[in-house]
Amino acid sequence: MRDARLGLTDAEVAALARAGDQSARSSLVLRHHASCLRFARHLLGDDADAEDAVQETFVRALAALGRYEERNAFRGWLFQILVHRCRSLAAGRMRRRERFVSDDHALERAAVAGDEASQDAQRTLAVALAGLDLDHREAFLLRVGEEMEYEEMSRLTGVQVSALRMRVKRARDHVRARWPGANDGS
Amino acid sequence: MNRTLALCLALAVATAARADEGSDEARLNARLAPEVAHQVSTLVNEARAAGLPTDPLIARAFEGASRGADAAGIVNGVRRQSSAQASARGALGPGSQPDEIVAGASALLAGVPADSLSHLRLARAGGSLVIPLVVLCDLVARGVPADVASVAVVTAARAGATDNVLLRIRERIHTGIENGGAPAGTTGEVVRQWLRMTAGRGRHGEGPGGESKRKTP
Amino acid sequence: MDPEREEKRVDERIRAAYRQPSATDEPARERLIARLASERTPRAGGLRGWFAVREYHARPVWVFATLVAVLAAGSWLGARFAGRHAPIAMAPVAGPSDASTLPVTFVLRAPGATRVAVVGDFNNWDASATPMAHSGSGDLWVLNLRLPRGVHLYSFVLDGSEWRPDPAAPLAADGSFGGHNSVIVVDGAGGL
Repeated sequence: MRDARLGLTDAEVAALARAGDQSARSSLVLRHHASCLRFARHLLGDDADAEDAVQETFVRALAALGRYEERNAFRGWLFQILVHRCRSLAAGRMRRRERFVSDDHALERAAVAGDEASQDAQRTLAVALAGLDLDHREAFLLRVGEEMEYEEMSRLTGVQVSALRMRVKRARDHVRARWPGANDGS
Repeated sequence: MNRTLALCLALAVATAARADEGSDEARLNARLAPEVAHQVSTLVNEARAAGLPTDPLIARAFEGASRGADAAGIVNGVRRQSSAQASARGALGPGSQPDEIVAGASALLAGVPADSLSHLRLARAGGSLVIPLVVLCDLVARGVPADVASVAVVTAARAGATDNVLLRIRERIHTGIENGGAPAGTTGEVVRQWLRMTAGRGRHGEGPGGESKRKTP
Repeated sequence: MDPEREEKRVDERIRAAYRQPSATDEPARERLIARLASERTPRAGGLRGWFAVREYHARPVWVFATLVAVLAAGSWLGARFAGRHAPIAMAPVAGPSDASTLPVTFVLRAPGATRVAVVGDFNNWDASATPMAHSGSGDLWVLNLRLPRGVHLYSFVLDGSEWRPDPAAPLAADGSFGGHNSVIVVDGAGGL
């Protein structure tokens, strides 16, 4: 699949999709699927759940294009739906007694092993994120991973900017403490 | 009984062919000067008799008229298309689909050697060559030397590149050229990158565990 | 090192790890597309169903009455909520409506143009046959057509005289008449 609407802004593509342009729908998927999936994967810590959340997000978003207002960034609007889907999934998982945060000691061992042997930065990040609760992980990934502005994050999460700043700071400190080489200036 | 059936069938086909000829002639006469329409009509009938697509020939005539070409230019354009279609079928094989013949003709007209079409057929046995041919034609039209473009597309096809992958490769090459890259070098580099990526992840770029666990129809 | 710079550096490394693609990304995307295709047209199979359009059969008088009502309602709503959505042309899709044709949307950004048409194999290269509609915002021109399956050459004609290939589409061979045309392959996979 390819983006047949290269050169158009997200707002223009969304407008075309709303008007019935088939290629525009696939263009929206192609443009945003990767970022949605990586966010969901790192937030939920599970590939299968992440894929579920992203599928539901796109199904709902494409069905609800009539509610998208072009003065807002399309990505922000899409992520708003995604964040809520992820939260619902995570809450459902908690109710089923599935925990994302695994045993603290196991995490510590994994972190140490990662420092010494692991060349896989993604695994290191997953371990580092595993020690954060959902709220902190969500804020951290939106800010550091997706480079969103705090105002946009506030709009899509419903959380005040001041609270988001605090969460990002705490999360960043937590991740940095577990990131190999983060403290040695290399 | 069988002979009767065969005769009826032949009559039906001949009648349909005559009907096609009639409607094509009417279309041509409606748009073109009588002499031009007649010459084009002759070429169209020859193509029909040879089992080659005729709509693209009529389309070329109308394109020429719309672009303001003179009579000789229009007829020449149609003749080139017809000749290219015949060559394309020769290179792609007698069982080629009409769309493959049309796309192949475009590639030949762009300067792609006929051999490349044959190699493409071997590289993707059993699959449609429309998209590979369109990609090949596009690359050459953008300045990629025909031999480089041919090797790139045939290699990718042989390595299992799907239509979507070929189209994405085409876009990356396009972007690279627009950003100032040399057409030949950019083409080679993009295809090599894809081959390296594919070699690490298995055929068609799917990674391990690519089997579906999620809702799929 | 300056703490702010150090923080930025670590953020960049974390971001790089975060953005590293996974081998399962593409299969996941393909499964999403397949699901969207199946939910849009449950009777059609696989990816090609994505772009198949359900056929509705109605008596012409009811079609006309419905169209008038919809256009009237649309005008009222459009006036009421002007600016909320880009007014992309909502003209009915032109072309033969049957199972052998598929809807295709042509889009061109042409700042300064006063009229734009699509010409191609599917309309006898007649610039008067299928004028495009200005989107009303920005400089986009749009046209919805139903085209038969197959390979079609086409071009845009700006202000009656400037021929321009589609920047988003593959190029065809340098034609006998000068200039390049664009190629669209209508095959149920969204065309090119």
